[in-house]
Amino acid sequence: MARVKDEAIVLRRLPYGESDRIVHLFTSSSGKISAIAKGGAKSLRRFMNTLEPLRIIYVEYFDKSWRGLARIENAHILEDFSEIERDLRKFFIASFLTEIVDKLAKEKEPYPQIFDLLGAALRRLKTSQVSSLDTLMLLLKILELLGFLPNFKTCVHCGKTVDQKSKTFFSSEKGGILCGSCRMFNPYKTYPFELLSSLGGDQKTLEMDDELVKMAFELMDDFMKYHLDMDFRSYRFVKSSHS
Amino acid sequence: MGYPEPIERLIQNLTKLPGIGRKTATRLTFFLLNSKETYVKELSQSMIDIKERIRLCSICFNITDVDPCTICTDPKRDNSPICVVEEPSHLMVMEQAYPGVFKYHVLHGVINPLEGIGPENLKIRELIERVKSSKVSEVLLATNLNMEGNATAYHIANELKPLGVKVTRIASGIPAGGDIVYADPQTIRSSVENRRDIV
Ligand SMILES: [Zn+2]
Ligand SMILES: [Zn+2]
Repeated sequence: MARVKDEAIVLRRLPYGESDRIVHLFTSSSGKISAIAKGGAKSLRRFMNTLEPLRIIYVEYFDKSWRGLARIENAHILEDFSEIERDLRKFFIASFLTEIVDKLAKEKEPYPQIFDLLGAALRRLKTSQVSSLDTLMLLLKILELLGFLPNFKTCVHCGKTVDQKSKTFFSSEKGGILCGSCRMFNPYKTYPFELLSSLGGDQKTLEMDDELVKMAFELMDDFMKYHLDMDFRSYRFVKSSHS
Repeated sequence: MGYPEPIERLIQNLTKLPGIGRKTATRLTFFLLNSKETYVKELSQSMIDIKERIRLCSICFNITDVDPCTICTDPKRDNSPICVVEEPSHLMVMEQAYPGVFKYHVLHGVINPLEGIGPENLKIRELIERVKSSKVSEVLLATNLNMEGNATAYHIANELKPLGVKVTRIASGIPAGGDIVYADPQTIRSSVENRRDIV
């Protein structure tokens, strides 16, 4: 059994007994893994502050060596983002971004772009203000890279391209927009075409006023609940704390 | 043939307790059957009492049988700092280390977005109101020194700041009995930041 050396973002710490600790790590080369740091009080004390979320760590582990969990042999902090704890809104955003990756990323599948993006997001949250629009763009980008972005380009029922001004029907259940003729066959909600067409445009240059951003958060909430069938517990805090 | 109904019923009820299987429940039942009646009455009354007489103190939210609790009404603590803790059990730990020194405020949890717990689910608003409406010398934030405990402490500190009250946080660093070699850089840094004169 080979010892793996990698960099990882700590996604989540689970409560587990008094002397062991289980964490979800998002590693640079192997994607998401679940790992355990087995006590020996000495080794746990050594890892206690390292295996906390809001850290990028260097980690050495044995793959799947204990009940399907990787066993952490060594770890230290490479980058620490604990400053994020000082600002509740930033803390909520960071928690949400890590929660989506934790819940949607497949185990042991590498996602190098998301690793870089999540790292960059934590770096930004640590040092500067992040607007609601920035948060929305991060959410869309992460969903896109995970393969879960709603379809804002073509009708999810018939597959036809919908022209910009007709993009007003969105089905959370089906996971995308509907054209005028297909809407009668599907559950949907009506949104301003400005919202759906900008969500379908280039996300790097997304421009929206506060009202549209708020609507976009509501739309994404519906989409994640009904299409992804996921309850992201941290999302309600992100949705409600606008800047 | 089974046991008589009252015995069977007690066995069933005892197996609902954590860590008690049927075998242990049976042993306990026969122990009680052979015990003095005064003991069995005292045992069952003490179980009823925790449900009927224990509630939360309306000032500090610690568990108590009198409201306000004996800590809140202790005149020796009139000018004491309010020590903010996550749980009643944490209050006990502080009180053991500093008997009679603090008043307390029990939050009943910490901010934990991944569990859906926000500030409004904790006794934070009550703490702010308490500081507003009474003369408080200092608020000492003694939540755990992990991510959730820190985020909760910072949030409370930010909320209390406009009120002009002195707000402090318990220190973090290398634990007593700890070995420097096993401490991470952040722990080392905070030990150095919190250093003190030795002579
Ligand atoms: Zn269609
Ligand atoms: Zn009290």
